[in-house]
Amino acid sequence: MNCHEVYAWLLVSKTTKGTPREVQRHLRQCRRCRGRRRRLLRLDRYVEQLPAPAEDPGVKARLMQQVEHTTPFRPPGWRRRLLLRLAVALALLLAFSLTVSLLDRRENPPASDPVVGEPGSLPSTKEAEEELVTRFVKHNLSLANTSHPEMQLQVLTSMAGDLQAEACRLAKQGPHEELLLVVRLYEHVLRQGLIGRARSLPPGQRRELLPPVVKLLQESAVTVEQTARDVPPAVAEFLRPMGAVARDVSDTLTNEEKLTAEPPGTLTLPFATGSGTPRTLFAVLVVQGVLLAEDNDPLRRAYYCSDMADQLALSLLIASQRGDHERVSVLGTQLNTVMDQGVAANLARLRKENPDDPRLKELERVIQRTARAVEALEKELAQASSQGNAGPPQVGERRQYEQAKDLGKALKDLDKKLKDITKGKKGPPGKPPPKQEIRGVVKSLDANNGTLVLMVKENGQEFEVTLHLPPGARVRSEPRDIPRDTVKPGLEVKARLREKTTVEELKVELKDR
Amino acid sequence: MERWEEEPQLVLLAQAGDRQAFATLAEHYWRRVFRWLYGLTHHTHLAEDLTQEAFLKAWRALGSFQPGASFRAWLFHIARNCLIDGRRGPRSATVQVLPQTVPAREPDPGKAVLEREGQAVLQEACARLPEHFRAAFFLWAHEDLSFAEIAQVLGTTEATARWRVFKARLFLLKELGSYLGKKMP
Repeated sequence: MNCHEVYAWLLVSKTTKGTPREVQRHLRQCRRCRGRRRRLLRLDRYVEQLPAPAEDPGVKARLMQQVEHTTPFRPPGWRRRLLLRLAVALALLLAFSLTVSLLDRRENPPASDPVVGEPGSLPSTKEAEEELVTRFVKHNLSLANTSHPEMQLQVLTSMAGDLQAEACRLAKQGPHEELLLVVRLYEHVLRQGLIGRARSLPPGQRRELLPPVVKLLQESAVTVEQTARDVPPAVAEFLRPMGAVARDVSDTLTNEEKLTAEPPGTLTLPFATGSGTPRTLFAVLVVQGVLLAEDNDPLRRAYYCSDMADQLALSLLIASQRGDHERVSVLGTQLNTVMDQGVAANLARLRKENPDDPRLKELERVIQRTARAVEALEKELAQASSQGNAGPPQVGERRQYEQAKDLGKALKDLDKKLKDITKGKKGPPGKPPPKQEIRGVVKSLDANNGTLVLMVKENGQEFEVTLHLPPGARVRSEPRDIPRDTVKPGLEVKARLREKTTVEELKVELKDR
Repeated sequence: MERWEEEPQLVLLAQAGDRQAFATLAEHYWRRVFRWLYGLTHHTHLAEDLTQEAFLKAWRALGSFQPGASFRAWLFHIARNCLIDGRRGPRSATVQVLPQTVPAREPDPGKAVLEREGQAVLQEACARLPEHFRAAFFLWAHEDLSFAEIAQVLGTTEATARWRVFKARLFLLKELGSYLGKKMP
């Protein structure tokens, strides 16, 4: 790197943060650039200390008064209900967590870290949570692609089995405060999912399909009761309702009269603390799984899957911010699968079944919402890689670097997939066609690689646009073609575009003086 | 600025209508938004009014915030819109040109004088910076926003945001040349 490049780098970089090795090397050798850096550091300090007057606390208080009397814009429909429940459930969960930890502490003083398991024993909490997320993504994708009651019952029973195993693990291993969430979700799967599906079956099919489900539920009840005997009484108290629910639902499934009389389950949705954590993601997956089992409509299924994708994207962002590269990689793959087998597959089904369905307009919204999540991810990744571009990766960093590269590729594939989903469909009504022409003033033209930078004014604002001027592109000044080396900074031009940023023809506008 | 881990959770709760969660968010970001707006207007009361307006608008529009996006950038974008809207109204006439200076307390008198002098020159230099350069520069310097986030706040491209910060720093370096070159006692 030469002085010019190092100075350009210093001017757009936080001078105290991650200096690339090449810059460091140059700075060691160049006194002038060291001086520049010193001045920039001093400038940063002055800027940091720039005084601002003390704020008037009354203004903030007035804001909160106004907030008190103003209702925020609410997202529509079920999404809004889900969010409202989140607040309620969070409060519930916090209260529960406090109660359990107090009771537990009184009866069982803490001895060792309960989270880390012995080798060969139960998996660690983090592993178990991530494994559960993986399993529920699979369950949900199975439900998103089947309308057969037999298959739906089978998947819902597997979900219940997984939840029961997780509850027993939590009871033995902790953290106990999450037990309530899992027990509630189990009840939701049984009452809303299994009973709901069983009610929709004709009596003949019920007699054929329900006995194996009942048997599994009874076995679950026994396992739960056994586990409850082995754990401290305060914990057992929260585990036992799971056994009771399993027995109650198995009774309902064997009793025709009770089954048809049973109202659909109304459950306060419990939620895990910390958005984007595996536990929150898993809770969302369970709820979406039950919705997917209830609803055979491909558009709504695409919505539910898109919501799963949103949650996966949020978890991915948070994992990426925390530097958990392995999880980022796993979540990236899951996000890709959900988009492919959940969203895209259901939209394809809708188009095939009813190509004139007026709701196809809504399709665009589903895709756009997920596209925004993917865009956020791409930005995050680009930012991460630009921060990591300080130099070639160290041996220890290489794995993370490779994983980030893989994720980048996966996101690109996903982007392509989103475009493929919209293929075969006319553009959304009212959307303007892509811009064909750009007017601006030449800022620079790199003759070697054809990079043309224009300063463009729009709505009173000036911004830079970088275009590619390929060798075959025409450069004209009416009425004739002119050599491209006559395009100099300051000239007004009009660029006709072939693609998004590739120039087909550049017209130089020479004004008569 | 360090990432605030509770932020996504608080935003979700606030989206669900939880005023306490929004109050926590406002507490965290109030001073930052106010400082930025003050840097652009140089007027305490106007900056306060605009900050209040920005938070109220943010509260009303929370439902449109996309989880996973940068809440900071979204909030500052609203603040910027309030500033632009404010310019169209009667309040625009009250903008002062030069900043009010509040000297910092400094134990070493020699250093304090030099620092104060440097800061006064810096304030004047900042005031001479075109506003869109100043807006980008303060977001970068004070708020530690990435260029992508600055672009989102100012409704421009990442390259332009980078360019504005580049130019602003270059300008300030030149303006403060002698002060930055002096050896600190």
